[in-house]
Amino acid sequence: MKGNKEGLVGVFSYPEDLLSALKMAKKEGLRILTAYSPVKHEEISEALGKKSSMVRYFTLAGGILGILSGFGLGFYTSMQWNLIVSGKPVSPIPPYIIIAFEFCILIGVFFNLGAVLLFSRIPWFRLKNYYDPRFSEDRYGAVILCDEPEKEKVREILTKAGAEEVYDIAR
Amino acid sequence: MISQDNKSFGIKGIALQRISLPLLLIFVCMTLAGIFTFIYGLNGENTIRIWRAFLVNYVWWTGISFGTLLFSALLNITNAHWGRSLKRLAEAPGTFAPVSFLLFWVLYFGKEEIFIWIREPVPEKAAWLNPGFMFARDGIGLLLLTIVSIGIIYHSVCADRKVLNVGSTAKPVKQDAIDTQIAKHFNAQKKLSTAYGILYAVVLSLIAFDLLMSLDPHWYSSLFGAYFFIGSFYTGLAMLMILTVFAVRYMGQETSIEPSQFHDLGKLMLGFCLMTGDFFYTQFFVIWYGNLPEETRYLLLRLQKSPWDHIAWTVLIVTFAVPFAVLLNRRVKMMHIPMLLLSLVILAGMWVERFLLVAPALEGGGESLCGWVEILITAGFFGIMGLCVLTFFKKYPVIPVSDPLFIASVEKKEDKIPEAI
Repeated sequence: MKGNKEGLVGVFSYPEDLLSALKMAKKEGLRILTAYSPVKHEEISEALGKKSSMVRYFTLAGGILGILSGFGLGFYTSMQWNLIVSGKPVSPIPPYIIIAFEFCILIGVFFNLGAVLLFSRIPWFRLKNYYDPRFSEDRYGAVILCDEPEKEKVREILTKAGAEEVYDIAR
Repeated sequence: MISQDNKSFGIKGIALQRISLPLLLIFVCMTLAGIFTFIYGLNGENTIRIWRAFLVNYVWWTGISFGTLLFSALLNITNAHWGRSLKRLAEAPGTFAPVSFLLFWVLYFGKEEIFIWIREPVPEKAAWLNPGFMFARDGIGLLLLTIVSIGIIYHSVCADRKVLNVGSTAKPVKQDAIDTQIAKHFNAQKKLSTAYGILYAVVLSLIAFDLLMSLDPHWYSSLFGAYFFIGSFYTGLAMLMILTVFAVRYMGQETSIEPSQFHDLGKLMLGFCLMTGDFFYTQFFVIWYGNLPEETRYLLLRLQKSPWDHIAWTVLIVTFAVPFAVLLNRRVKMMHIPMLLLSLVILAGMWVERFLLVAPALEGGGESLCGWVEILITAGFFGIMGLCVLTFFKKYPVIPVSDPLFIASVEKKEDKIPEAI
C-alpha cells in the first residue's frame, strides 16, 4: 500500500456486528477510514456520518429537463403539421403529460446514472489493497486507522463486536 | 417478559387522561351542533343543501374511517414490522364504522331529494338504479365491512387486554396460556385483514358508484370506484399522520414512534398522492380523448363552468401539487408540525374534492356554496369521529403491546444497540 496509513480491517458476517464495531470505534475516538457492504445499508452511512450525496440534485435536474423536453417535443412536432384532429386543439396539453412523464423518467435516470458514475469515480482500475473481494459478496468490512500501539485495542474492539477476521491494512 | 415490555412501551397514556375531559366536551358540543343544524335545516326551505352537506360528509368521513383502518389491515396482511407501533392509531378511526353504517340509513329519508333517478327514472338502468336494491346492496356491503372492521379491532385489543391483565388479577395466569391466546387473536386478525382488503375495494367502489356517480345517472366511468377508494386511503393516511403527531406530542409515545416511521408514513402518503392524481388523470384523459358528449358533460360542468372551475383548480393544487412538492423533501417528512399542517391541507382538499363530486350534480349553478350549514354539519361528523377515537384511546393502549410483530420489532431494535455502548 502506498502512503503512510496504518490500521486494521475487520471482516464481519452481519451488518449489526459491523454497526456495533463502528459505534464502539467512534466512542473510543478512533478514526474510521471507511466501511464496506455488499448492499446499500443506510444505517452504515449514518454510522460513518457521511453527508447525503449530490446525486439526487442531478436526478432532479434531469427529471425537470425531461418534463420540459417532453412538452417541447410534443408542441414542436404538432406545430410542424398544424392539423386539427377530431376537434382537438393543434397543441393540446393532456396527451403531452404522458410524453413529459416518460421523458422525466428517462432523462432523470440518465442523469442519475451519470451522477453515480461521476461521484463514485467509476470505473476504478486499481482497488485498495486492503479491500477484500468478499465485501462484494456476503461480508461486511470496517477499516479503522490506528497507530502500532493502538492496534491491540482496535483488534479487541473489532473481535468483541463480532469480527470473524481482523487483518492489517498493509497486508 | 410481557409485563416488563409493557413498562418500556409507555402505555400509561397519562397525557390523554388529562386532556380528555375538555376534548370530550368539545366533541359533544360539535356533535350536538351538527345534529341540530341537520334537523333544523331539514325543516327549513333549502333542504337540498342540508342533504348535500350530509352526503359530502358521509362519504368523506366513511372514507377516512375505512381508509385508516386499511393501514392496519395491510400491516397484518404483509407481516410488516416497520409500522407496528402505528397499528393502534390506525384502528382508532375504524371505530367510526358502526356509526357510518347507521348514518347510511339516514340517507334513505332524503333519497328522493338526493337521487334524481328516483324522481326521473332511467328505464335502461332501472334494474340497478332502484332504491330498494341500492339500499339493500350498499347496506349489506357496509354491514359486512363494519363487522370485519370491528372483528380486526376486537382481536387486536382483546390480546392487549389479556397481556395488561397479567399481574392485575389475584389469580395467577400461565404464560403459555397467554401466548396461545395472543397467537389465536393474531391469526384471526390476519384472516380478517385479508377479507377486509377485498371488501374495502368492493364496498367502497359500490358506495362510490351508488352514492356519488349515480347523482348524474347518465354519466359513467368504470374507474370511479377505484378512484374513490384510493382517494379514501390517501385521506386515511393523512388522518393517521395527524394521530401519530398527537400520539408523539400528547400521548407520551415519543420513544415508541421514531422519526423513521414518520419518514416511511410520509413516503406512503407521497405514493398515494401520486396514485390518486394518476387515477384522476386516467379517467380524465380517456374522457378527453373520446370526446363523447354524455361523458364530457360531467367534466365540462366541473372544470369549465364557474364557480366549479375555481374549486377544481383548488382541489388539484391542494390535494396533488402541494403535497407532491412538499413530500419530495426527506427531512420535512420527519418534522411533526409541517406534516400535521400538510395532512390537514390534504384532508381539507379531499373534502372539497368530494364536494365537487356531489354539489354540481345537485345544484348545477352553485347558488349556495360553503357556509355555516356545511361547517356545522362537518363539525357534527367531526364530533362523532372525535368521540369514537377518544373513547377508544381512553380504554385501550396507544401501542399494540401484545402484537407479536411489534414485540419482534422492538426486540430487533434493542438488539441493534450493543450492550457494550
